[in-house]
Amino acid sequence: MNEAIVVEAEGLRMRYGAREVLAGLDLRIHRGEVVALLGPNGAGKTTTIELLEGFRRPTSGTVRVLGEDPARAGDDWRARVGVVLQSWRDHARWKVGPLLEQFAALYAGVRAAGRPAPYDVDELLGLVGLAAQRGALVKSLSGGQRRRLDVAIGLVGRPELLFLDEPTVGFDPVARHDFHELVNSLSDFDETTVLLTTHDLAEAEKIASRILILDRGRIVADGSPIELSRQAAGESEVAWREGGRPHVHATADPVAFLRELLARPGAEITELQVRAQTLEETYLAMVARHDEAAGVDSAAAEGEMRR
Amino acid sequence: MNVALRAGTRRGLTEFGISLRTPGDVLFIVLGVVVVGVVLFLLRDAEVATGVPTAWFVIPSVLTIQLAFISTYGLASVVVTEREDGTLLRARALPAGVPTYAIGVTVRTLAELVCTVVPTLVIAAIALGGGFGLDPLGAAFVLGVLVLGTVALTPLGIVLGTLFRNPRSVGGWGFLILGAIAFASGLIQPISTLPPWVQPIGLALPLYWIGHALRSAFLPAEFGAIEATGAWQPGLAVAIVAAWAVVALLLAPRLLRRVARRETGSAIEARRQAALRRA
Repeated sequence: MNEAIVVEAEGLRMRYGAREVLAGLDLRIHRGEVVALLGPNGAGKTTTIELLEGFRRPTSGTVRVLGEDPARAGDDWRARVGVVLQSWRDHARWKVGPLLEQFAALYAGVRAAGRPAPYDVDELLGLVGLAAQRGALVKSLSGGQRRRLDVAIGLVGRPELLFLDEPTVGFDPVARHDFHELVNSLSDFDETTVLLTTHDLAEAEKIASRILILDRGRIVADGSPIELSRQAAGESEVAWREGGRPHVHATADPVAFLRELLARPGAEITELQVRAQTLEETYLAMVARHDEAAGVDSAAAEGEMRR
Repeated sequence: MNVALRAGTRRGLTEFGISLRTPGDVLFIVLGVVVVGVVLFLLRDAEVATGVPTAWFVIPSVLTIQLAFISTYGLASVVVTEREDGTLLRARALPAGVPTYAIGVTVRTLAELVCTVVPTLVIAAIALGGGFGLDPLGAAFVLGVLVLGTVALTPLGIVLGTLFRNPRSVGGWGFLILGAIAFASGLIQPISTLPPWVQPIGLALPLYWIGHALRSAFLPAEFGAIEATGAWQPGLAVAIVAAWAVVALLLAPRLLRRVARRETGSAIEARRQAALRRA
């Protein structure tokens, strides 16, 4: 069961008029994975997630989510998927508790055999830290509370697969931490598969078992946070001071380099520092490299056009 | 479908309950009923002919206008607004969400309609001295026409709500346009007294025929002469309203599914940004 493929996409392209937002995306997500789709603004994260949610149809390519084409799937499929989109403003005049109860009733009503019952509303509110807001009007919630309500609505049917588009925008650090704990417990205890988009690298690093870096409609890196760091040129930075002069050296094998450095006779090394590259640097390096490549491409394209 | 029906009915009643706790919404309902009450009170002794109270003219128009404003205009504004704020997309993300939503807005509108039409009928009965001057058959016919009118105009509201994008255009222009249509449909003055080029507009739309059918129940046979048909044609009127009902009932779910299918988070975000720029 662990190996079951939950999301499978092949050759996804998406074009809005002349603008190509996705340029041939391949993606596979297994049950229980927490995958972060990371990328700068305009990289195609939201488009990707909306294709997988069945809210859009790709220009070309195939998508299978939980074994079905999301754009055609019915209510049984919907009941297995939870969706948290960006910028909800709906149901402002409703109270938190009744709103969740209404949605829970929908999941309870179309639930296929063998699927767990929806969350008890009180339990769920406790889980997302809104227990005190049960009777509050939705419009009276703060930005972070509203966002947590959105997450609660995404969770209420105990989905097998949860989509989160920029879930922690507007969260304070405590709420963010709690949210990360919540996502971790979902994947640990319920085998919920989670796909979230973010442009916050630290967040992706903290909660994702796998990170996909998306840029200009392509996946430019794919792996666990540690793998990605290793993959990122794999270099560490060694800095030291020798004879009053600062030195910096980048190396893939800092241990061997240090051994050599310190073994030199008469070496007077001070202020020695070894720094492994962080994922942040990796990310920036990747996006920068990608930018460069794109720059070359467009220069080449321009050259073509002139000819 | 059963799920949607149950959840949608509950949803509609909850939304109506919210309306009842919202001063603006309550004021809208109360004001409508109070204005009708005042008009009928002032007309309580007026007669267009001996034994024919003016109220018999006014009540059919009042009921038709209430029906049109609550079913069509009210529902259309709700759909346009909730499309913009993401309610419709939310419905799309939930199992059985869109039918539940559609039943919800319909139930809410029906509740509002009942809370307006019933007090209006009570006030009218009081103003007319304790009754409508209708025999049981006539009373049943009036109720039947009101129900049929609702069945025609409610889905029409959903249709109109899906055709427009900007809530403000429906709120402002829609109000004026519906007012103009009420005028063209002979609800303010008899249609035969309107300019000849206006009359076909009124005759093509359902409001004239709802009014016609209701008047035919209240007024004596000879008053049919002021109608566009030259005489009472309750059968024809019912048939035309029924045809509108069929068209609207066929279109409404299709259009609603279609606009729901086109809703995406990014589209809503783009509209939110546009709304912020306008503000």
